[in-house]
Amino acid sequence: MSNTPDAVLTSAAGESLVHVVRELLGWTVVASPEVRGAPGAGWRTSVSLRARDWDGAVTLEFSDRFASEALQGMLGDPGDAAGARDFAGELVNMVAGRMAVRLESTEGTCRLGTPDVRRREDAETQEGDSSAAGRTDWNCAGHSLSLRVRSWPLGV
Amino acid sequence: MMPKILSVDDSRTIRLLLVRLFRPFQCEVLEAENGEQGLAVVARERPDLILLDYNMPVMDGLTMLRQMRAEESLRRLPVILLTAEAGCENIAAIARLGVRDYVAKPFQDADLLAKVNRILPLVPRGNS
Repeated sequence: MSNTPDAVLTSAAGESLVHVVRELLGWTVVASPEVRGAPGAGWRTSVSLRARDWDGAVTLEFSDRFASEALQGMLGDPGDAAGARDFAGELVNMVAGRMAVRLESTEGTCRLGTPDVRRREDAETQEGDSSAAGRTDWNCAGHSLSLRVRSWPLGV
Repeated sequence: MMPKILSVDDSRTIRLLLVRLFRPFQCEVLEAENGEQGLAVVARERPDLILLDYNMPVMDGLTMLRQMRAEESLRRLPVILLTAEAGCENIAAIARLGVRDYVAKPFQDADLLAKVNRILPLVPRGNS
């Protein structure tokens, strides 16, 4: 069993989200405990992390409007559904990648999986609503973002 | 002839960002979605520089690099790794394969341009 408390992973994930959004989009992200989940139609995107002693996953949820405004800011075009899906996968990949770098000194090399990107409404039907465990909520330029980190011992 | 920069990345968002970044310069940006496609473009187009992602489906960046380095004519083709997983172990592994530099995603435009410019001097469009 990993000695890494969930609070450490949650903190690393939050710092990584703030860093990635600031560097990629130039937007500020602030913790927003009063928000509970990202409302409206949108994306649920996850990537697995495998550290020396544990497996885990990072999940990010946000609205379609966040994706289109982010793409507009980056590329000058709000893009289509395929573009938003790709952006969603890349965003969670960068957050998990930043986490991996941040955790390397204590957790060893963390390997990332391939991002799994779903429509949130489909994911909720298949997986249920994301539980509050390991979840933090954020406000980014008026958009709600939900970030969740889970970990479990290797092989479980 | 304009220099060619090959972007090998499974993310279309990243490829579009790179196309946009290099648009003001006299160079052609080629695209590939994975290492397998990247090797095909390298064989066909002979780019002057490769911006290579690490973690990709079908064929990852490390495998593409190994295959390139196994071929004499491609051994010295400059590569900059562009990766979200810039951990020490990954960097050590790719350094052994002669990667010239690496940039962590999300990248700063000025940082990437400076690193590219050290390998492939970038000339603004409109300058002769």
